[in-house]
Amino acid sequence: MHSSATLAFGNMDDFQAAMGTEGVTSLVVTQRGRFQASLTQVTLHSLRLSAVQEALSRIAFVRVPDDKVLLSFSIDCTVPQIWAGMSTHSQNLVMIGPGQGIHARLTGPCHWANIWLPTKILIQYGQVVSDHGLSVPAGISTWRPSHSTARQLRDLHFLAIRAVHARSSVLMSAEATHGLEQQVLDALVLGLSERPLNDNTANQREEHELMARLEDLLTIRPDGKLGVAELSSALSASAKWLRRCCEARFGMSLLDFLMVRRLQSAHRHLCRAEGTVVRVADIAERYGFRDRGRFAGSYHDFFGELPSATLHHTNRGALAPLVRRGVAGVRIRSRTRSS
Amino acid sequence: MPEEPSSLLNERRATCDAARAVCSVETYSTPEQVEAAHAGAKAEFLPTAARAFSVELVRIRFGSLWTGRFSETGARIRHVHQDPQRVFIKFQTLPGSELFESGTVVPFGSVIRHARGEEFYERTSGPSEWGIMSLPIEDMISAGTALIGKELAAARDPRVVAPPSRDIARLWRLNAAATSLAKDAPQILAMPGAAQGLEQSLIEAMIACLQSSDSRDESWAQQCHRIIMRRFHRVIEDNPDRPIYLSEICAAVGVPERTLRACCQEHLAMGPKQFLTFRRLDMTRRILQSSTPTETTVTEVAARFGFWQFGRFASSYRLIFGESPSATLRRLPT
Repeated sequence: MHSSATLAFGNMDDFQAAMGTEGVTSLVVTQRGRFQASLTQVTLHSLRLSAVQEALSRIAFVRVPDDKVLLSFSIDCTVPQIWAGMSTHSQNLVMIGPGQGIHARLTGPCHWANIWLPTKILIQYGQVVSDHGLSVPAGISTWRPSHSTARQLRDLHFLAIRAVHARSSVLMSAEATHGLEQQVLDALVLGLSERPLNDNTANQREEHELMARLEDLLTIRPDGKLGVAELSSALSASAKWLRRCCEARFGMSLLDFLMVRRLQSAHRHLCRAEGTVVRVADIAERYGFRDRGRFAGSYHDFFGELPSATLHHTNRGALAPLVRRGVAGVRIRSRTRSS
Repeated sequence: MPEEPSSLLNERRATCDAARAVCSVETYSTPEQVEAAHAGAKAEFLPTAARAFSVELVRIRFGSLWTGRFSETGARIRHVHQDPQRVFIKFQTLPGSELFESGTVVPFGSVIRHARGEEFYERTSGPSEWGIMSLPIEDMISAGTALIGKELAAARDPRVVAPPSRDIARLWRLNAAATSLAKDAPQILAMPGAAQGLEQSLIEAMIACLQSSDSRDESWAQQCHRIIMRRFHRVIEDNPDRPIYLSEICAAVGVPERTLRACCQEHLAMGPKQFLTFRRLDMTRRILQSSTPTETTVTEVAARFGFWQFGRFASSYRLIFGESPSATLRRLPT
């Protein structure tokens, strides 16, 4: 089945939901401002190509299914994504292996790309790469293919995305999409025949593992206030190590990160409160803010309005740019074709 | 390039005498025509030069010996599967560009003797002129034994021989004479005595060139590469109407890309990806040639064969084939 879609978002909730298809299990916006993002996806026969445009800094956790491999690279970013605390050169390709999870942080507006491929395809083409076959890199690795290979990959990705935006009929042709997919695979296979720039060390693998478990924990207990000691105990990791990993990945202390998450959960709750009886005080308590005044202050710092104002807008049904779904500027174009 | 009906065969045929020698002079301007003209061999032709291409082929068939001369205006790659009933030799008749068979250069002044039923990639590096001769196997064996006491049909591999300058010069002279006669005075070749005499001289001159023992055996690496290229061609042969891409063919041939690239560089003077791209480009030309604008569009054909950058496709097409893809499409199909 070949399909393509392009969507634009005016709120982070909808964006996070849609980004589930890009493996994103949590998204924490860390910058104040008007939320704007777009996502374009095109599914070929086995590969899926995506392009994402975002305006605000954020920290996302991306999980790759067991049967897939994810390749990610920046198209046009003020500062490229920071993967697991490591900033990567704009020319690099990051590969995330099957079953892996990783924190990806943006520190400014960014236009970036994903290529999803089934692991079995890489194995199938393993012989093409070397006599010994290609050992699918587990974990997270960084690659710098040759200039011409990188250029090919970017060009092909760009052409596919452009075809979606132009609603081009070439996407309807099975032969044409097969041709594009083969050429992307050619470029990938050539790119992967070199050595990666860096691969996981044992230490790094442990850290990735720890962070993945942290995310699991936060998913199970999204609301309550968790302290470092509590987390450290639950994860069987020293507080010092935990803090260090988190600061590298989040660019802020673990406590601050947790606080921003809780703030966003509160915000989300307030936005969805239409038709229900909700008090700001209850929200504050629910999301672990004992001091209402401090909660309101942090909330205002972040969202530019008081929690009561958000609630007011929600109840009034007014159009608030950070809040409402379906605001002007959301374009949804989607074409699907069953093969 | 003027819009002439280049799809029409432009030939001058002179049937001299059915019993003794049949000669023909033909000019071809599309690869399909050249392929169709290959008698005694199955061939595929791919022009690789940035100019419109044309081939003049002069052929003479005597009672036993077949001889001919190719004059080509541009570089190209040819894949040939020779008739196993005959033994073929080839030599350049004009210096300038290089002739490569199975990755081995056949220098100007030398002769290549092909193995029986050989299949190989042959390429030229530019405009070229070269001669070809063949005898049925039994005749080759008996002529070799009689004239130089050597069995000349048994080689498993092709041999490149550098004959003494006197012998190669004689071969060139006779080949040139036969070619001139076929072009300008075919009626002379109609006279049985004249044809027979010329045929005998040509055979003697050919055998004399082959007697030189100055030939190199193929190295083991060359043999391996030839096997790989044979597999490479097999995949292409099995998919005559489909575009083929690099990873697919590497996986089908069963070698790493790096190895295939080395073999292709030798045999084709380009890597497999570039060759496959040329092939795809040529496939678009064949489809555009046999279609009309009501049936399809240039964009559709281009995308079908993997060309998604339509501007770049059109300029590459124009560079290689001398006209725009839409011009090819507009022309009436052949």
